[in-house]
Amino acid sequence: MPVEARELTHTYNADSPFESTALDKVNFKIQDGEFIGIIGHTGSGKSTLIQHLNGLLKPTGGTVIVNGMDLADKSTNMKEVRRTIGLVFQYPEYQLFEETVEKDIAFGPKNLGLDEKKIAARVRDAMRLVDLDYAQFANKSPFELSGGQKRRVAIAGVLAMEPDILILDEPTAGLDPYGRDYILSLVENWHKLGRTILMVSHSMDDVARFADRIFVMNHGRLEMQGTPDEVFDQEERLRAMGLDVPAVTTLAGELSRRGFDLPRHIHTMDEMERALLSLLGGKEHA
Amino acid sequence: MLKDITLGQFFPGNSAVHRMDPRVKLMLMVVYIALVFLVKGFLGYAILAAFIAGTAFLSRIKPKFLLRSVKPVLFIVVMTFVLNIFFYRGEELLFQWWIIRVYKEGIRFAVFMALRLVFLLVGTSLLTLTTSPMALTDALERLLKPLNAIRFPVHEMAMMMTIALRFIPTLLEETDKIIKAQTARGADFDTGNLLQRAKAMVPLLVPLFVSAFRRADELAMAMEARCYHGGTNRTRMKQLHVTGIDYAGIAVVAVTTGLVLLERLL
Amino acid sequence: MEIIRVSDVYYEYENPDEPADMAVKGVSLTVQKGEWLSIIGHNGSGKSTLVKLLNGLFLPKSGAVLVDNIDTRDEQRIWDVRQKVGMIFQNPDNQMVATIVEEDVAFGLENLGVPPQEIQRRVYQALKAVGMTQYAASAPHMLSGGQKQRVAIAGVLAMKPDVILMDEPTAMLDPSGRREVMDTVQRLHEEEGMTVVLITHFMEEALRGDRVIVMEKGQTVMEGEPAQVFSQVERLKDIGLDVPPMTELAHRLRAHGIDVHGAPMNVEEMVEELCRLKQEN
Repeated sequence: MPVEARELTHTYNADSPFESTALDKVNFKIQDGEFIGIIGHTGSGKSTLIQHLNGLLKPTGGTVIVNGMDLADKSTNMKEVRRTIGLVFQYPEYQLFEETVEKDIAFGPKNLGLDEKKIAARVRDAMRLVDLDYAQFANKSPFELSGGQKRRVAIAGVLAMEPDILILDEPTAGLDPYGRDYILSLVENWHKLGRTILMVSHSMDDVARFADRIFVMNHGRLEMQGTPDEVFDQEERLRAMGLDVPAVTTLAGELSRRGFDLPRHIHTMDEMERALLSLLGGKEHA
Repeated sequence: MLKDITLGQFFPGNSAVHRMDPRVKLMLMVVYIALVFLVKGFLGYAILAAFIAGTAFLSRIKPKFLLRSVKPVLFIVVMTFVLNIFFYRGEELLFQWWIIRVYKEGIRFAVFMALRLVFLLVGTSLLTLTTSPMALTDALERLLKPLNAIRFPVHEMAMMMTIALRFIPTLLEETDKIIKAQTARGADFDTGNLLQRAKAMVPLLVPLFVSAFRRADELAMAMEARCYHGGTNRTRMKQLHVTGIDYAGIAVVAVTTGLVLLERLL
Repeated sequence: MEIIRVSDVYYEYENPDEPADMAVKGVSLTVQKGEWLSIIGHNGSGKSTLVKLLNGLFLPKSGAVLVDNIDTRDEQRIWDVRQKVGMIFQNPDNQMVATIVEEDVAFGLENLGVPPQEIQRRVYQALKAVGMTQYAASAPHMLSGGQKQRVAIAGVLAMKPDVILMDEPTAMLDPSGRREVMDTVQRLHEEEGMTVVLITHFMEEALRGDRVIVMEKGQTVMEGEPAQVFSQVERLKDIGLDVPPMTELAHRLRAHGIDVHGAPMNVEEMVEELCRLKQEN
């Protein structure tokens, strides 16, 4: 299910004193099975962008094409679009409302008009995908769970719609280190199972680790798009946009200046470890 | 975006009208409302119109904004006007068709009623346009202080109003977010019959209430941490002072009142 | 000089809905005047409960908390305790009371019954200290998360506290907001000698402090200077905590037999250490 944005533009409050362009002629193409990391500081247009991809916001210029469906076209079936593209908002646990975990996860599939049997199967599948035991959690109130569990229930609610493309807006925000790693490993797993993933993140380390390609948003424009190597090699440009690079990238730059002969493109901990071991001659495994 | 919605309709400024003590403004508003009901004839309305036009000019609020306040209730104004024309029974019949009879007195009365409504709306909106909701709350708290004697919780009421004002934008933004999140899960808030629509609100209202309670809980703790313990021994940073502008305002209203009373007697 | 003393404090929630593992079970610690103490631990380790015990929002079931020698259970002096120990919460929205920034900063002083002239003076001093004077007349909902937290800090500063407690003040902020708040706190700590107790999930924030305490299951399990604590990578990971990236790298190199000295905490220290190793090689 390829996703394509063509000259995508969104202006809030057009022709009023509050007019502001949140998206400015954005163009991109996403292929099946890609993992896209979206970075940019607050207010750079990331949220506006992802809300266009499943039709929550309508473009004021240009369009988005999802699997051949033109989202700027009024006659497009939005339900089908929202089934194809699942969107997990920031702090998704704040949207939980049902009496039980099972009912809450069933909300999406029910809205798709599936029959009882299919819904039940979807709920079980989704719970498995977020690593929540059905017997233990299905009949619990979502409000009794811990923060991390609530978030997994909320994400399961989106997964139960079986989207081909999953968009996550900062899925690890507000979690402790353990919770962050847990969610990220789940996301990695969904990607391996064949879903296309778009993940908005403030953590350059996470993006460097998981993304095939990175979109850098700045002032409503898609300022850069490329592999982590291509993007993080431009440290100066990122810094000018108020963004960081992974800590190891900074270290690599510093070491090169001090005469270390390091390979190019070091952006993850694993890459740095390998490079230093070969340079300093450590044992391959201790 | 919901964020841009201004609270009430306050229009920040630094005019003489803006700078008046909100307590004085509030009291003068009460006098003005009385005047609107006291006016007898067109001359009286001319006097009030002059007063409003003068105040509006001083406040530098554009007439456009002032008249906008009439818009939401325009329907009621027109209805009042039409009903009064058709149902007022006077002596001088002007026009008759089927069961409809229009009298000269009817027209006069209808015009007066419509004018009365318009003057009330424009006057009160002149107050809310030039006075922040916070200042109004503050003025109310101070003016109603004597009610403490009969155990009326004046401070608590004012604090509740303040907190409501503070959280309206936050909750509006939150509503927007939840609607979007549930829409992304296939919820439909816009179609179906009344019952279906009411049911569709559950996925919005439950999270909204849960969040409002959580916020209330956290806010209560934050207020306690900052030593809040009700209105006793509490001081205020902003002191209200009655100044020259206020005396001038009082004088203008006094003159207007005199003129209106004179018109009534003549 | 000691400003807070916690001796063998126990606390558990009476409400059965609250997860029991958030209780505090026999914690003793002291906070010295002028120090920066960071408390880390995963969710439910009891650290949030612990800080709420430090300003009398919660009262110990047994043991005692003394703030400047005042027992937090002394009802007569609870407002003194809260004036001395100011607190910043996680959610920037849910701790602002007024619809205008300066009035929010004034809130605590109004509660203390400070005279109006004095309130105005202190409010402007406090806003200046956090660099927010130009927003004095703004509405809170027009500010960024980082700016809101700075206003909250100003609200506490205006009360002239001895200690600022912060319960994950940056958890809901983006990286630039996080930096903005942490730089403000660091400046207050270094220039004004403000005592800071910081709870955080971000290890690079804990690094800024003088001392780190690790909480686990309602107890303090590790304590020491940041370098000491973060050099115990395995133990921290067992508890479910992160280590700063450079510490992690040092740990990995050491696992492969490379003799990294000390516990490099940031890029500069790591560069120096690697240069030394390269020389030796």
